[in-house]
Amino acid sequence: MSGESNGKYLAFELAGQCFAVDVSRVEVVLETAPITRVPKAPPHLRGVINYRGAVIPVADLRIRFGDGSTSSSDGSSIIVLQVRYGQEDLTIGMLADAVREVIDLDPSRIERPPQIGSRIDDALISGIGERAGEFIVVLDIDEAFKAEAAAGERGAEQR
Amino acid sequence: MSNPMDKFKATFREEAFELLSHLEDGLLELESQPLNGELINAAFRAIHTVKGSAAMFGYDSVSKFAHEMETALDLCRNGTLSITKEFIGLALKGRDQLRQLMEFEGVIPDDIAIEGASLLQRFKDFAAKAKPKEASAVAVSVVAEKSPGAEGETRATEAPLAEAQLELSYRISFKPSKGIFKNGTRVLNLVEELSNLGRADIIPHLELVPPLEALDPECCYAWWEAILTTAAGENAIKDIFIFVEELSELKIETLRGELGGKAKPLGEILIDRGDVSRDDVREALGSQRKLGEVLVENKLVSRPQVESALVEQEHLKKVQERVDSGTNSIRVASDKLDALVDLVGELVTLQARLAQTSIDISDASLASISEQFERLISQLRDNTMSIRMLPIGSTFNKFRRVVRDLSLELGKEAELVTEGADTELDKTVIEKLGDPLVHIIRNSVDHGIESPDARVRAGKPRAGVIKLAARHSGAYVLIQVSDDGKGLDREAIRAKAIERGLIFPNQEIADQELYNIIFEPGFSTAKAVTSVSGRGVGMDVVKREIDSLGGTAQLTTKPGAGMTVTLKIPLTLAIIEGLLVRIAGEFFVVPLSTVDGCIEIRNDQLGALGERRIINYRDELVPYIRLRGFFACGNSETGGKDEAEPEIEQIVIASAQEYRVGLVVDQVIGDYQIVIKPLGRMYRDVDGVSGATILGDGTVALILDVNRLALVVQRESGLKAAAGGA
Repeated sequence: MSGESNGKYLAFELAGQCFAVDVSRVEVVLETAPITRVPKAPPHLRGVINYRGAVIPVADLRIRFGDGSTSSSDGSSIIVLQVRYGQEDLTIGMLADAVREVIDLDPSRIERPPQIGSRIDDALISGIGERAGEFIVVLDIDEAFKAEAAAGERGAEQR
Repeated sequence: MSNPMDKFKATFREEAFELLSHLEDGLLELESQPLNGELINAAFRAIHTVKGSAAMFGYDSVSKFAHEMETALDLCRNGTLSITKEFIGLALKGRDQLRQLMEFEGVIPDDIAIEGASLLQRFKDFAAKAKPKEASAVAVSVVAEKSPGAEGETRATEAPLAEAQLELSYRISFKPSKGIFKNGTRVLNLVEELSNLGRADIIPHLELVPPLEALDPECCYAWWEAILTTAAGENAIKDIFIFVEELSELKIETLRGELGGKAKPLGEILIDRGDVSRDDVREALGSQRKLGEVLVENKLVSRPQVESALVEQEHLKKVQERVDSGTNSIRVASDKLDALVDLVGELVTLQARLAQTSIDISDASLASISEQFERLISQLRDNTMSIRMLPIGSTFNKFRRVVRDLSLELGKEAELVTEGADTELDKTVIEKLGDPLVHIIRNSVDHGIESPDARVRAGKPRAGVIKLAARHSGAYVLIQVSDDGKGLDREAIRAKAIERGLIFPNQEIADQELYNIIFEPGFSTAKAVTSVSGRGVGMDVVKREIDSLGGTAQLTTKPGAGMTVTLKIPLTLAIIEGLLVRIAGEFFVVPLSTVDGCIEIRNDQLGALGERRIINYRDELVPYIRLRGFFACGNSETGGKDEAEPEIEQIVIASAQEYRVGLVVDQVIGDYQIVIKPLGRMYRDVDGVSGATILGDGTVALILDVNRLALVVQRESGLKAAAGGA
């Protein structure tokens, strides 16, 4: 996690909330990519896309971070991330409603999330920062996708 | 790799691992031929090389250990000690120890160090036996007869043993009598059987076939010649023709003397075959033209005779090349090879895109470039794939050790024989085959082979035989593991299956299907759980691994006579031919090797979505599944695209295992070369889909898992039928 101390984050919107991920984990932001649905997969996995000749999964975190329903608006962008999952590095796409910009957040000003009052599972959050009067939720993407992948495997086993 | 020493070290380790695996093979062989001096020498040389180079690269613990092993082996080599089963066991353990020492470079865990110390002591004890024994009687006298001075003598006595393994080339001519068809013999099958024995070049002779008006279709006019290189021996060849011996002329000649030398000139071969005299050849050679041409022109030999001799020459040349190939190969890091295959895969994908674009633009010159490009790429693909092909025999030796150790542990006697070790398979496939094969073989030793006493009571030899055979069959490789043990207990499996609710108590089920239940997770009929098997993990792991390779596993058995597991594995995993189909705007690929045919059907004949029905395909009732329903296509609520089904849909008839199944799709688009991409672990075990591929337009299409779909369909229709019957 050495990369997380450089203070640069990519900010994006998801279900009306502003989130940020460590920019060193971001490979690229794809504006449009046709998503191929994988039938019989859990709903938070939206499908797969072709990313530089490899087939990578695209996850939709809105189900986890939003109000629980699948958003009708198709995310306009896919953020391609490097995620550490168990022993391996995975490349994963994440849907975002809108991608804003790369921002500086002083690591010392990122605070632990408050214990109450948040609808977001705080295990997936590494902290909350503030910028121009707006709260920005900094995601711990390894944790977030560990939960996603585990859910995917559970879903598969249940059938 | 900044330090050049690291690079040398890597090479050393690679070579040492190779030497150690040779050592293992050698020791196992030595166990069955303890007096073979050549084998002892080879083992000694291997350990000596490991010792020397280990010392050079600072692997002191390795070289120290190897030294003690070398000392012990040396005593065997010069005949002071004789090779015993115990010594082989010790030496094998020593080999494993060396391997572990190599793996833990520098820091050696305590338990391994302790194990090593005790092994070392045992080697020393073994070596110490030498002195008193030298003075004493029995063992020495036996060894002494063998040892005096005589490499040559030892070899001479061992020669027949070695020969059994040696490959020889044979020239076989098979002239069936005219009336052979009349007793129902399928002559071509006999000829084909020859190629199962080894590398065979078969030359059909059709010169006796009369013109059409004179031809009696019930007579056989053709005859065959075959040049065969095999280790199977002459009797195996004779066995093939045993039932037609009376009705045909069979000639088998050994071409042995020619092995190892240079390829013979055509003239020599023709003289050898008695087709032409030496003088005629000499005269023809004088004319400075192609010998074959001249001889044919002068009517000294017929053209087919020359062609057949040429085939023989080519065959022997190839055999020779194989013998020499050790010097003609280079060592390449496997990740470089993987990178090459990836690149070729991308090229194939890109080519698909180019082809698509050229169709869209419909420009003649672009189309021709695209076509040439396609031809080149498919050649490049085949070549690249062939580089990755390895003979499966490299893994066979590992299994010999498994059988040896396990039968020892269980107090049984079993031996592994292998066949078709030079059958080639993709490297990645071979790697993934290791575990399933170990499971199957362990299962055979544990459940199949009986104890020596029980075997004797059943009138079988004390030692069981497990046979591991591999051979090509179209785009697949068939791997069979068979044993001559007690076979499966049909009733025990049935009872267990009923107990676990897999079948109904009164359900009639074909033997084949019943035996395949063994592959279900957690299924075991073993009464007690042992360290080896009985927990019911194993066979389902086999099934899962084989499924993931796109292969199938099948089981046949004869009570009292053993069982056979047959694995059918695709030759390669990376690039396959696929049939592209469309369902409600979504694209899927059916692996072409599974497709039997396509038929059209009117939408109103299909029945409701999701319902399973039967269709008559070539007089066979085939159950079909509507993928639109199964995959919830054409429904935006589940993420699909809204699109009504067309009036006429198509059913792709595919076969998986022994079943046929129909897959109903909107439209069949055509066949494409596709590069298989994994879906990744987030989509692990998604039902009915085995992977993905990238289409010409850059979008992703999913590859259907036909085996899985067939199972779903077959189960449901089978259960329905059973429920109806009950």
